[in-house]
Amino acid sequence: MRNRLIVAAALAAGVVGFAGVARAAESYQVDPVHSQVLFNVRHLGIGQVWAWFKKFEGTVVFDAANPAGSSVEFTLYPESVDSRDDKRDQHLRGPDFFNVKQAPRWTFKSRSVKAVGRDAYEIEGDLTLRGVTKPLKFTARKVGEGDDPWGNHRAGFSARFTVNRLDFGISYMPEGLGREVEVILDLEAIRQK
Amino acid sequence: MDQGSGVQVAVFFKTVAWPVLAAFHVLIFATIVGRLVRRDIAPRATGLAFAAGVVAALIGARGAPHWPPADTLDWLGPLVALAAVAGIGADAAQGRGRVVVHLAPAPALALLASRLLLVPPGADPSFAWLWAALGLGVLWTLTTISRAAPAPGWHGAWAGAAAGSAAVLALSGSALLAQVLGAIAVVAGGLALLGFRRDLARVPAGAVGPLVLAYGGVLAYAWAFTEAPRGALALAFLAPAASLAGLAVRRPWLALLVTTLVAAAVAGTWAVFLPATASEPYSPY
Repeated sequence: MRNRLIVAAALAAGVVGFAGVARAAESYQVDPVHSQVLFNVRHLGIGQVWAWFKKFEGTVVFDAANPAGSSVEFTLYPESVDSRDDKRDQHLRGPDFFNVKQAPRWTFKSRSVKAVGRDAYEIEGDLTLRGVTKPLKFTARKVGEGDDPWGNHRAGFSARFTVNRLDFGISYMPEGLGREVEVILDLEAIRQK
Repeated sequence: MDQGSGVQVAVFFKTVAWPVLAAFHVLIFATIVGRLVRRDIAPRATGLAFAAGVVAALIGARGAPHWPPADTLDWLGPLVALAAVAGIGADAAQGRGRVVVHLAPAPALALLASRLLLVPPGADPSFAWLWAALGLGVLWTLTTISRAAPAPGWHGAWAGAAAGSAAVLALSGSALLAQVLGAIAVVAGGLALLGFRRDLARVPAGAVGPLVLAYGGVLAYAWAFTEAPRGALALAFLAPAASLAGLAVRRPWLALLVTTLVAAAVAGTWAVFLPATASEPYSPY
């Protein structure tokens, strides 16, 4: 009887221990206060114009042991664009560029995630801007992870990629403004309890 | 050539050169085919020529439309082309004395066009499209009545209205829509000048639909999705009705002058006051 109890206890400890190593996928909510979405585009072939978006939200399901079980969903509100010039922001929101009244949300939904190096992940999915959906593939890095002073567990992710704005109908003035837009995502996300 | 000049040259070609060339090619082609078949079909091709100019302007301004259409401008070109083709059919029917065949489809086309232009798939539905349909219907009716006027005055009203509206939108709403309206003004102006030719002196019934849908569609889009002043847009919507003045002025040159100036003044006067109200100078380029 005593031997059986020892075996059962050992098995239970093993199961618990294994679960601790191979933790299931964890869900993170993007913390917009500590995250940035920026873009830049060439201006007249001379310099670059930078801007960022203030309003967005997203969910990252992250499974380090099984990256294929990970996923990303992200929604951005283009009306929140800020290029440090009110008139330019108004122009960006209009039909010439983002057309925010007709297409108020931009979305990205991943279809696959795979590890491509230490803390680096190749994400493939569908990007929808201005009602046009196109596939997008980019590499994201997990840049940090840890607990904050309030007991939350946080993870940081960073990605940089380019999209051709003409593919999405943001096609005004291709002679004056670059077709390729570089997008920089710097996200901090909070693990859901 | 520096970058700034390059942009200006590109805008000139997209707004003026390509639309005019496209429209004139349709008329030249119709003239050649008419001679081959020994029928004068060029007059009936006026609407199709205008549609070709608008489609060329839209492709120049923002590339080929997406399929499925993602926003208003993706719908505009195909709808204007469809209206032009339907207009040729309506002209043929009218030739056999059935005027009602031409007039009856107008409300249905206005409703369909407004629904597609203002509520594309995925967008939140609203009832703005019903108001747009009403506006298109009124515009369609007024410009159908004035179609009896000589062609130079009738087309001149559209050219003046589009030029005035382009100025308003360039200063307040959208440089892209201003560019499209500029192309409408140029093509309509070209058709106004061609209206001095004897064979093109009358406005065919099929020319009404493409002009109403192109001009009214851009203004409805501006009303729904830009910050352009509503008062200015309402005046712009009514401005083509200046073609009614052409009914009273029978001399073509005078009709052209009067309708163009009146329409441009009604549609564009607001633009004079817009720079003064702008908080700071801004150039999109």
